[in-house]
Amino acid sequence: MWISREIWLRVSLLSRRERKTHLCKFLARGAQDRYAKPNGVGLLAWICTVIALTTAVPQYATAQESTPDWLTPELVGTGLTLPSIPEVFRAVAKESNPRWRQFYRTARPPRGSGDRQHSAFGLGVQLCEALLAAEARDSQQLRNTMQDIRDSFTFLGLADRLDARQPAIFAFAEDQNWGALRLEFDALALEVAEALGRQSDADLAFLLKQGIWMRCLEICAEVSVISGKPTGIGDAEIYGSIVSAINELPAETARQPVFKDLKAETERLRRRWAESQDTLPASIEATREKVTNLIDRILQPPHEKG
Amino acid sequence: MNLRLPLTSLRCASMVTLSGCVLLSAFAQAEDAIESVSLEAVRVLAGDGFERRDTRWRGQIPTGEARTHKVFLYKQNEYCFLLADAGRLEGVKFAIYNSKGELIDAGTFHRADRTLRGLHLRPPTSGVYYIRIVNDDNATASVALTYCFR
Repeated sequence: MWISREIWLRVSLLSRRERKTHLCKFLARGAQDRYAKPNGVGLLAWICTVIALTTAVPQYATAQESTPDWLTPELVGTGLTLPSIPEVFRAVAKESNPRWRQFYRTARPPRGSGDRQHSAFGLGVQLCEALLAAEARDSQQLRNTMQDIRDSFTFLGLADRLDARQPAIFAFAEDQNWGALRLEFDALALEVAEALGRQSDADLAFLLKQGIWMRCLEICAEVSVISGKPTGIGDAEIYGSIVSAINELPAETARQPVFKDLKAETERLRRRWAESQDTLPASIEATREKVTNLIDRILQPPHEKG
Repeated sequence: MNLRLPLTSLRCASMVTLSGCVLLSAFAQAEDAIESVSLEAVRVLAGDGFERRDTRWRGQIPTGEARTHKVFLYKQNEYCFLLADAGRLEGVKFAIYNSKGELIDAGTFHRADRTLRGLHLRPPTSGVYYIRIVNDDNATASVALTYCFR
Protein backbone atom coordinates (compact mmCIF):
# COMPACT_ATOMS: atom_id res chain seq x y z
CA MET A 1 0.00 0.00 0.00
CA TRP A 2 2.81 2.40 0.88
CA ILE A 3 4.25 1.79 -2.55
CA SER A 4 1.02 3.01 -4.14
CA ARG A 5 0.95 6.09 -1.91
CA GLU A 6 4.56 6.87 -2.75
CA ILE A 7 3.84 6.53 -6.44
CA TRP A 8 0.78 8.74 -6.06
CA LEU A 9 2.76 11.47 -4.27
CA ARG A 10 5.54 11.42 -6.82
CA VAL A 11 3.19 11.46 -9.76
CA SER A 12 1.13 14.31 -8.35
CA LEU A 13 4.23 16.51 -8.54
CA LEU A 14 4.63 15.98 -12.26
CA SER A 15 3.28 18.28 -14.93
CA ARG A 16 0.76 16.92 -17.43
CA ARG A 17 3.39 16.62 -20.16
CA GLU A 18 5.78 14.83 -17.79
CA ARG A 19 3.01 12.43 -16.75
CA LYS A 20 2.32 11.56 -20.38
CA THR A 21 6.02 10.93 -21.03
CA HIS A 22 6.39 8.78 -17.91
CA LEU A 23 3.24 6.84 -18.74
CA CYS A 24 4.45 6.01 -22.26
CA LYS A 25 7.89 4.98 -21.00
CA PHE A 26 6.39 2.94 -18.18
CA LEU A 27 3.94 1.12 -20.44
CA ALA A 28 6.73 0.22 -22.84
CA ARG A 29 9.10 -0.93 -20.08
CA GLY A 30 6.35 -2.81 -18.25
CA ALA A 31 5.38 -4.68 -21.39
CA GLN A 32 9.00 -5.71 -21.96
CA ASP A 33 9.47 -6.87 -18.33
CA ARG A 34 6.27 -8.90 -18.28
CA TYR A 35 7.23 -10.69 -21.44
CA ALA A 36 10.67 -11.39 -19.95
CA LYS A 37 9.63 -12.66 -16.49
CA PRO A 38 5.93 -12.80 -15.77
CA ASN A 39 4.93 -12.72 -12.04
CA GLY A 40 1.85 -11.68 -10.07
CA VAL A 41 3.40 -9.02 -7.80
CA GLY A 42 5.12 -7.29 -10.71
CA LEU A 43 1.87 -7.21 -12.65
CA LEU A 44 -0.01 -5.73 -9.66
CA ALA A 45 2.62 -3.00 -9.16
CA TRP A 46 2.52 -2.25 -12.86
CA ILE A 47 -1.28 -1.87 -12.79
CA CYS A 48 -1.10 0.41 -9.69
CA THR A 49 1.44 2.66 -11.34
CA VAL A 50 -0.56 2.95 -14.54
CA ILE A 51 -3.64 3.90 -12.50
CA ALA A 52 -1.64 6.50 -10.57
CA LEU A 53 -0.16 8.00 -13.72
CA THR A 54 -3.54 8.32 -15.36
CA THR A 55 -5.63 9.53 -12.42
CA ALA A 56 -3.45 11.45 -9.91
CA VAL A 57 -4.32 15.13 -9.64
CA PRO A 58 -1.12 16.97 -10.50
CA GLN A 59 -0.12 19.51 -7.85
CA TYR A 60 2.04 21.29 -10.39
CA ALA A 61 -0.88 21.78 -12.71
CA THR A 62 -3.02 22.95 -9.83
CA ALA A 63 -0.45 25.57 -8.84
CA GLN A 64 0.12 26.70 -12.41
CA GLU A 65 -3.41 26.49 -13.72
CA SER A 66 -5.21 27.95 -10.76
CA THR A 67 -6.46 30.89 -12.79
CA PRO A 68 -10.25 30.95 -12.41
CA ASP A 69 -11.90 29.42 -15.46
CA TRP A 70 -13.82 32.54 -16.38
CA LEU A 71 -10.60 34.60 -16.50
CA THR A 72 -8.46 32.08 -18.37
CA PRO A 73 -9.58 32.92 -21.96
CA GLU A 74 -8.80 36.60 -21.42
CA LEU A 75 -5.35 36.06 -19.93
CA VAL A 76 -2.49 37.84 -21.70
CA GLY A 77 1.16 37.09 -21.00
CA THR A 78 3.06 40.25 -20.11
CA GLY A 79 6.21 41.35 -18.39
CA LEU A 80 4.05 42.52 -15.50
CA THR A 81 3.45 38.99 -14.19
CA LEU A 82 6.68 38.68 -12.24
CA PRO A 83 7.43 41.52 -9.84
CA SER A 84 10.39 43.80 -10.46
CA ILE A 85 13.48 43.26 -8.31
CA PRO A 86 13.14 46.63 -6.50
CA GLU A 87 9.60 45.54 -5.63
CA VAL A 88 10.90 42.34 -4.05
CA PHE A 89 13.62 44.21 -2.19
CA ARG A 90 11.03 46.70 -0.93
CA ALA A 91 8.92 43.89 0.53
CA VAL A 92 12.01 42.27 2.07
CA ALA A 93 13.13 45.58 3.56
CA LYS A 94 9.75 46.12 5.23
CA GLU A 95 9.70 42.59 6.61
CA SER A 96 13.28 42.17 7.76
CA ASN A 97 15.02 45.55 7.57
CA PRO A 98 18.28 43.97 6.37
CA ARG A 99 21.73 45.54 6.27
CA TRP A 100 22.08 45.23 2.51
CA ARG A 101 25.85 45.74 2.35
CA GLN A 102 26.57 42.40 3.98
CA PHE A 103 25.02 40.62 1.00
CA TYR A 104 27.37 41.89 -1.70
CA ARG A 105 28.66 39.10 -3.87
CA THR A 106 32.37 38.79 -3.21
CA ALA A 107 33.20 36.52 -6.13
CA ARG A 108 33.49 38.60 -9.32
CA PRO A 109 32.43 36.95 -12.55
CA PRO A 110 35.35 35.66 -14.63
CA ARG A 111 36.04 37.74 -17.73
CA GLY A 112 36.50 36.82 -21.36
CA SER A 113 35.26 33.26 -21.06
CA GLY A 114 34.09 33.26 -24.65
CA ASP A 115 30.67 31.87 -23.71
CA ARG A 116 27.77 34.19 -24.52
CA GLN A 117 25.21 32.27 -22.44
CA HIS A 118 27.50 32.42 -19.46
CA SER A 119 28.03 36.16 -20.01
CA ALA A 120 24.31 36.89 -20.39
CA PHE A 121 23.52 35.14 -17.11
CA GLY A 122 26.48 36.87 -15.48
CA LEU A 123 25.21 40.23 -16.72
CA GLY A 124 21.88 39.52 -15.07
CA VAL A 125 23.64 38.73 -11.80
CA GLN A 126 25.60 41.97 -12.05
CA LEU A 127 22.50 44.05 -12.81
CA CYS A 128 20.91 42.65 -9.67
CA GLU A 129 24.11 43.43 -7.80
CA ALA A 130 23.78 47.05 -8.97
CA LEU A 131 20.21 47.11 -7.66
CA LEU A 132 21.52 45.74 -4.36
CA ALA A 133 24.05 48.58 -4.23
CA ALA A 134 21.18 51.00 -4.86
CA GLU A 135 19.26 49.46 -1.95
CA ALA A 136 22.38 49.87 0.21
CA ARG A 137 22.74 53.45 -1.09
CA ASP A 138 26.37 52.72 -1.85
CA SER A 139 27.73 54.80 -4.75
CA GLN A 140 31.18 53.23 -4.62
CA GLN A 141 29.88 49.68 -4.84
CA LEU A 142 27.69 50.76 -7.72
CA ARG A 143 30.71 52.15 -9.58
CA ASN A 144 32.63 48.92 -8.99
CA THR A 145 29.71 46.85 -10.26
CA MET A 146 29.36 49.08 -13.31
CA GLN A 147 32.87 48.05 -14.38
CA ASP A 148 31.81 44.40 -14.55
CA ILE A 149 28.55 45.35 -16.21
CA ARG A 150 30.43 47.27 -18.90
CA ASP A 151 32.67 44.26 -19.60
CA SER A 152 29.64 42.04 -20.12
CA PHE A 153 27.86 44.59 -22.30
CA THR A 154 30.96 44.92 -24.46
CA PHE A 155 31.34 41.15 -24.76
CA LEU A 156 27.71 40.80 -25.82
CA GLY A 157 28.08 43.60 -28.37
CA LEU A 158 25.65 45.87 -26.56
CA ALA A 159 28.00 48.56 -25.26
CA ASP A 160 26.07 51.29 -27.06
CA ARG A 161 23.01 50.48 -24.96
CA LEU A 162 24.97 51.12 -21.81
CA ASP A 163 26.64 54.24 -23.21
CA ALA A 164 23.22 55.82 -23.61
CA ARG A 165 22.21 55.19 -20.00
CA GLN A 166 25.47 55.29 -18.06
CA PRO A 167 25.65 59.09 -17.62
CA ALA A 168 22.17 59.11 -16.08
CA ILE A 169 23.06 56.14 -13.84
CA PHE A 170 26.16 57.87 -12.50
CA ALA A 171 24.30 61.18 -12.15
CA PHE A 172 21.52 59.53 -10.13
CA ALA A 173 24.10 57.77 -7.95
CA GLU A 174 25.95 61.05 -7.43
CA ASP A 175 22.70 62.79 -6.44
CA GLN A 176 21.69 59.84 -4.21
CA ASN A 177 18.52 59.61 -6.26
CA TRP A 178 18.10 55.88 -5.67
CA GLY A 179 14.51 55.58 -6.84
CA ALA A 180 15.41 57.03 -10.23
CA LEU A 181 18.46 54.80 -10.36
CA ARG A 182 16.40 51.67 -9.76
CA LEU A 183 14.00 52.68 -12.51
CA GLU A 184 16.96 53.27 -14.82
CA PHE A 185 18.28 49.76 -14.19
CA ASP A 186 14.79 48.32 -14.65
CA ALA A 187 14.62 50.10 -18.01
CA LEU A 188 18.15 49.02 -18.93
CA ALA A 189 17.47 45.34 -18.22
CA LEU A 190 14.26 45.52 -20.23
CA GLU A 191 15.95 47.26 -23.14
CA VAL A 192 18.84 44.79 -23.26
CA ALA A 193 16.53 41.78 -23.09
CA GLU A 194 14.46 43.23 -25.96
CA ALA A 195 17.61 43.98 -27.97
CA LEU A 196 18.85 40.42 -27.52
CA GLY A 197 15.46 39.07 -28.47
CA ARG A 198 15.44 41.16 -31.65
CA GLN A 199 18.83 39.85 -32.74
CA SER A 200 17.65 36.23 -32.47
CA ASP A 201 19.30 35.72 -29.09
CA ALA A 202 16.13 34.87 -27.20
CA ASP A 203 18.08 32.32 -25.15
CA LEU A 204 20.48 35.05 -23.99
CA ALA A 205 17.58 37.38 -23.18
CA PHE A 206 16.05 34.63 -21.08
CA LEU A 207 19.33 33.90 -19.28
CA LEU A 208 19.82 37.59 -18.56
CA LYS A 209 16.43 37.73 -16.83
CA GLN A 210 17.16 34.50 -14.94
CA GLY A 211 20.53 35.87 -13.81
CA ILE A 212 18.73 38.85 -12.29
CA TRP A 213 16.12 36.60 -10.65
CA MET A 214 18.51 33.98 -9.30
CA ARG A 215 20.74 36.61 -7.71
CA CYS A 216 17.64 38.26 -6.25
CA LEU A 217 16.53 34.92 -4.78
CA GLU A 218 20.02 34.34 -3.40
CA ILE A 219 19.99 37.72 -1.66
CA CYS A 220 16.48 37.13 -0.30
CA ALA A 221 17.52 33.67 0.91
CA GLU A 222 20.53 35.14 2.74
CA VAL A 223 18.28 37.74 4.36
CA SER A 224 15.81 34.99 5.28
CA VAL A 225 18.52 32.83 6.85
CA ILE A 226 19.35 35.71 9.19
CA SER A 227 15.79 36.77 9.92
CA GLY A 228 14.33 33.26 10.06
CA LYS A 229 11.41 34.41 7.91
CA PRO A 230 11.11 33.26 4.28
CA THR A 231 10.73 36.71 2.75
CA GLY A 232 10.85 36.81 -1.03
CA ILE A 233 11.75 33.14 -1.42
CA GLY A 234 8.73 31.24 -0.12
CA ASP A 235 6.33 31.80 -3.00
CA ALA A 236 5.93 28.66 -5.08
CA GLU A 237 4.14 30.72 -7.70
CA ILE A 238 7.31 32.67 -8.49
CA TYR A 239 9.28 29.46 -9.11
CA GLY A 240 6.32 28.11 -11.06
CA SER A 241 6.37 31.16 -13.35
CA ILE A 242 10.07 30.61 -14.05
CA VAL A 243 9.52 26.92 -14.81
CA SER A 244 6.59 27.83 -17.09
CA ALA A 245 8.80 30.30 -18.94
CA ILE A 246 11.43 27.60 -19.48
CA ASN A 247 8.73 25.23 -20.72
CA GLU A 248 7.74 27.80 -23.31
CA LEU A 249 11.26 28.00 -24.78
CA PRO A 250 11.91 26.22 -28.08
CA ALA A 251 12.64 22.54 -27.45
CA GLU A 252 16.14 22.86 -28.87
CA THR A 253 16.97 25.65 -26.43
CA ALA A 254 15.37 23.94 -23.45
CA ARG A 255 17.50 20.83 -24.06
CA GLN A 256 20.74 22.74 -23.48
CA PRO A 257 22.44 21.91 -20.15
CA VAL A 258 22.15 25.38 -18.64
CA PHE A 259 18.38 25.49 -19.20
CA LYS A 260 17.89 21.94 -17.96
CA ASP A 261 19.85 22.78 -14.84
CA LEU A 262 17.83 25.96 -14.28
CA LYS A 263 14.56 24.14 -14.74
CA ALA A 264 15.49 21.24 -12.49
CA GLU A 265 16.63 23.43 -9.60
CA THR A 266 13.73 25.86 -9.90
CA GLU A 267 11.26 22.99 -10.02
CA ARG A 268 12.82 21.46 -6.90
CA LEU A 269 12.45 24.78 -5.09
CA ARG A 270 8.86 25.15 -6.29
CA ARG A 271 7.99 21.72 -4.96
CA ARG A 272 9.75 22.34 -1.68
CA TRP A 273 7.88 25.58 -1.05
CA ALA A 274 4.58 24.20 -2.31
CA GLU A 275 4.81 21.41 0.26
CA SER A 276 6.84 22.91 3.09
CA GLN A 277 5.11 24.44 6.08
CA ASP A 278 6.73 22.66 9.02
CA THR A 279 10.32 22.73 7.86
CA LEU A 280 10.82 26.43 7.29
CA PRO A 281 14.41 26.81 8.59
CA ALA A 282 15.50 23.79 6.57
CA SER A 283 13.74 25.11 3.47
CA ILE A 284 15.29 28.55 3.82
CA GLU A 285 18.78 27.08 4.17
CA ALA A 286 18.18 24.65 1.32
CA THR A 287 16.97 27.48 -0.93
CA ARG A 288 20.08 29.53 -0.20
CA GLU A 289 22.34 26.59 -0.87
CA LYS A 290 20.59 25.51 -4.06
CA VAL A 291 20.43 28.98 -5.57
CA THR A 292 24.03 29.79 -4.66
CA ASN A 293 25.26 26.52 -6.13
CA LEU A 294 23.21 27.06 -9.26
CA ILE A 295 24.65 30.55 -9.81
CA ASP A 296 28.18 29.26 -9.20
CA ARG A 297 27.67 26.38 -11.63
CA ILE A 298 26.38 28.62 -14.39
CA LEU A 299 29.03 31.28 -13.83
CA GLN A 300 31.81 28.72 -13.82
CA PRO A 301 34.02 29.28 -16.88
CA PRO A 302 33.38 26.62 -19.56
CA HIS A 303 36.96 25.31 -19.48
CA GLU A 304 36.58 24.51 -15.76
CA LYS A 305 33.34 22.59 -16.19
CA GLY A 306 33.68 18.86 -16.07
CA MET B 1 -11.51 44.64 5.47
CA ASN B 2 -11.74 47.94 3.66
CA LEU B 3 -9.33 47.72 0.78
CA ARG B 4 -10.31 50.97 -0.85
CA LEU B 5 -7.67 53.25 0.53
CA PRO B 6 -7.70 56.93 -0.34
CA LEU B 7 -4.69 58.34 -2.10
CA THR B 8 -3.10 60.04 0.79
CA SER B 9 -1.27 63.06 -0.50
CA LEU B 10 -0.90 65.54 -3.28
CA ARG B 11 2.49 64.08 -3.99
CA CYS B 12 0.90 60.71 -4.59
CA ALA B 13 -1.60 62.33 -6.91
CA SER B 14 1.17 64.05 -8.79
CA MET B 15 2.92 60.70 -9.11
CA VAL B 16 -0.21 59.21 -10.62
CA THR B 17 -0.55 62.09 -13.05
CA LEU B 18 3.05 62.06 -14.14
CA SER B 19 3.23 58.30 -14.50
CA GLY B 20 0.01 58.54 -16.46
CA CYS B 21 1.67 61.03 -18.77
CA VAL B 22 4.32 58.41 -19.44
CA LEU B 23 1.64 55.90 -20.33
CA LEU B 24 -0.28 58.29 -22.54
CA SER B 25 2.79 59.38 -24.42
CA ALA B 26 3.39 55.73 -25.22
CA PHE B 27 0.51 55.81 -27.67
CA ALA B 28 2.27 58.38 -29.79
CA GLN B 29 5.29 56.08 -30.07
CA ALA B 30 7.34 59.16 -29.26
CA GLU B 31 10.13 57.50 -27.36
CA ASP B 32 11.88 60.80 -26.66
CA ALA B 33 8.71 62.16 -25.09
CA ILE B 34 8.31 59.02 -22.95
CA GLU B 35 11.86 59.32 -21.77
CA SER B 36 11.66 62.99 -20.92
CA VAL B 37 8.34 62.67 -19.10
CA SER B 38 9.65 59.59 -17.32
CA LEU B 39 12.71 61.41 -16.09
CA GLU B 40 10.57 64.35 -15.07
CA ALA B 41 8.32 61.96 -13.12
CA VAL B 42 11.34 60.48 -11.39
CA ARG B 43 12.59 63.93 -10.45
CA VAL B 44 9.27 64.94 -8.95
CA LEU B 45 8.84 61.61 -7.19
CA ALA B 46 12.25 61.62 -5.57
CA GLY B 47 11.75 61.12 -1.86
CA ASP B 48 8.07 60.26 -2.19
CA GLY B 49 8.50 56.53 -1.80
CA PHE B 50 6.40 55.42 -4.78
CA GLU B 51 8.36 53.95 -7.66
CA ARG B 52 7.12 53.18 -11.14
CA ARG B 53 7.87 49.97 -13.01
CA ASP B 54 9.39 50.53 -16.40
CA THR B 55 7.47 47.57 -17.78
CA ARG B 56 4.10 48.46 -19.25
CA TRP B 57 1.54 46.69 -21.38
CA ARG B 58 0.05 48.34 -24.41
CA GLY B 59 -2.75 46.84 -26.40
CA GLN B 60 -6.05 47.13 -28.20
CA ILE B 61 -9.26 45.72 -26.79
CA PRO B 62 -12.13 45.25 -29.25
CA THR B 63 -15.67 46.11 -28.26
CA GLY B 64 -17.19 43.70 -25.78
CA GLU B 65 -13.89 41.98 -24.98
CA ALA B 66 -11.61 41.93 -21.97
CA ARG B 67 -7.94 41.38 -21.21
CA THR B 68 -6.67 39.98 -17.93
CA HIS B 69 -3.16 40.37 -16.53
CA LYS B 70 -1.77 38.08 -13.88
CA VAL B 71 0.39 39.92 -11.34
CA PHE B 72 2.22 38.86 -8.20
CA LEU B 73 1.87 41.30 -5.32
CA TYR B 74 3.48 41.44 -1.87
CA LYS B 75 1.41 42.18 1.20
CA GLN B 76 4.24 44.35 2.54
CA ASN B 77 3.94 46.75 -0.40
CA GLU B 78 1.38 49.30 -1.46
CA TYR B 79 0.41 49.47 -5.14
CA CYS B 80 -1.10 51.97 -7.49
CA PHE B 81 -2.22 50.55 -10.86
CA LEU B 82 -2.57 52.96 -13.74
CA LEU B 83 -4.61 52.50 -16.89
CA ALA B 84 -4.27 55.04 -19.68
CA ASP B 85 -6.97 55.16 -22.34
CA ALA B 86 -6.11 57.12 -25.48
CA GLY B 87 -9.71 57.20 -26.70
CA ARG B 88 -11.11 58.47 -23.38
CA LEU B 89 -13.87 55.89 -23.67
CA GLU B 90 -16.57 55.83 -21.03
CA GLY B 91 -17.04 52.07 -21.34
CA VAL B 92 -13.47 51.07 -20.50
CA LYS B 93 -13.23 49.73 -16.95
CA PHE B 94 -10.61 47.94 -14.95
CA ALA B 95 -10.64 46.06 -11.67
CA ILE B 96 -8.49 43.76 -9.56
CA TYR B 97 -9.45 40.23 -8.55
CA ASN B 98 -7.81 37.81 -6.13
CA SER B 99 -6.53 34.37 -7.07
CA LYS B 100 -10.02 32.89 -6.61
CA GLY B 101 -11.51 35.38 -9.06
CA GLU B 102 -13.25 37.46 -6.40
CA LEU B 103 -13.46 41.20 -6.98
CA ILE B 104 -11.17 43.20 -4.70
CA ASP B 105 -11.52 46.72 -6.03
CA ALA B 106 -12.34 48.69 -9.18
CA GLY B 107 -10.40 51.51 -10.79
CA THR B 108 -11.61 55.09 -10.83
CA PHE B 109 -10.78 58.17 -12.89
CA HIS B 110 -7.83 60.19 -11.76
CA ARG B 111 -8.08 62.89 -14.37
CA ALA B 112 -11.02 64.99 -15.41
CA ASP B 113 -10.36 64.32 -19.10
CA ARG B 114 -10.95 60.59 -18.51
CA THR B 115 -7.62 59.55 -19.99
CA LEU B 116 -6.27 57.97 -16.84
CA ARG B 117 -7.73 55.57 -14.30
CA GLY B 118 -6.08 54.53 -11.06
CA LEU B 119 -6.50 51.77 -8.53
CA HIS B 120 -4.85 51.90 -5.15
CA LEU B 121 -4.30 48.66 -3.27
CA ARG B 122 -2.63 47.31 -0.17
CA PRO B 123 -2.85 43.53 -0.79
CA PRO B 124 -4.22 41.53 2.14
CA THR B 125 -1.90 38.63 1.28
CA SER B 126 1.11 38.06 -0.91
CA GLY B 127 0.27 36.14 -4.03
CA VAL B 128 -1.36 36.17 -7.41
CA TYR B 129 -3.94 38.78 -8.40
CA TYR B 130 -5.63 39.53 -11.71
CA ILE B 131 -6.07 42.92 -13.33
CA ARG B 132 -9.03 42.79 -15.70
CA ILE B 133 -9.64 45.47 -18.32
CA VAL B 134 -13.04 45.43 -19.98
CA ASN B 135 -14.16 47.39 -23.02
CA ASP B 136 -17.94 47.86 -22.99
CA ASP B 137 -17.75 50.79 -25.35
CA ASN B 138 -18.72 50.87 -29.02
CA ALA B 139 -15.18 51.55 -30.19
CA THR B 140 -11.95 49.56 -29.91
CA ALA B 141 -9.94 50.75 -26.93
CA SER B 142 -6.21 51.53 -27.06
CA VAL B 143 -4.94 51.18 -23.54
CA ALA B 144 -1.70 50.98 -21.58
CA LEU B 145 -1.22 49.51 -18.11
CA THR B 146 1.53 49.80 -15.53
CA TYR B 147 1.83 50.20 -11.78
CA CYS B 148 3.76 51.94 -9.06
CA PHE B 149 4.67 50.55 -5.66
CA ARG B 150 6.05 51.63 -2.32
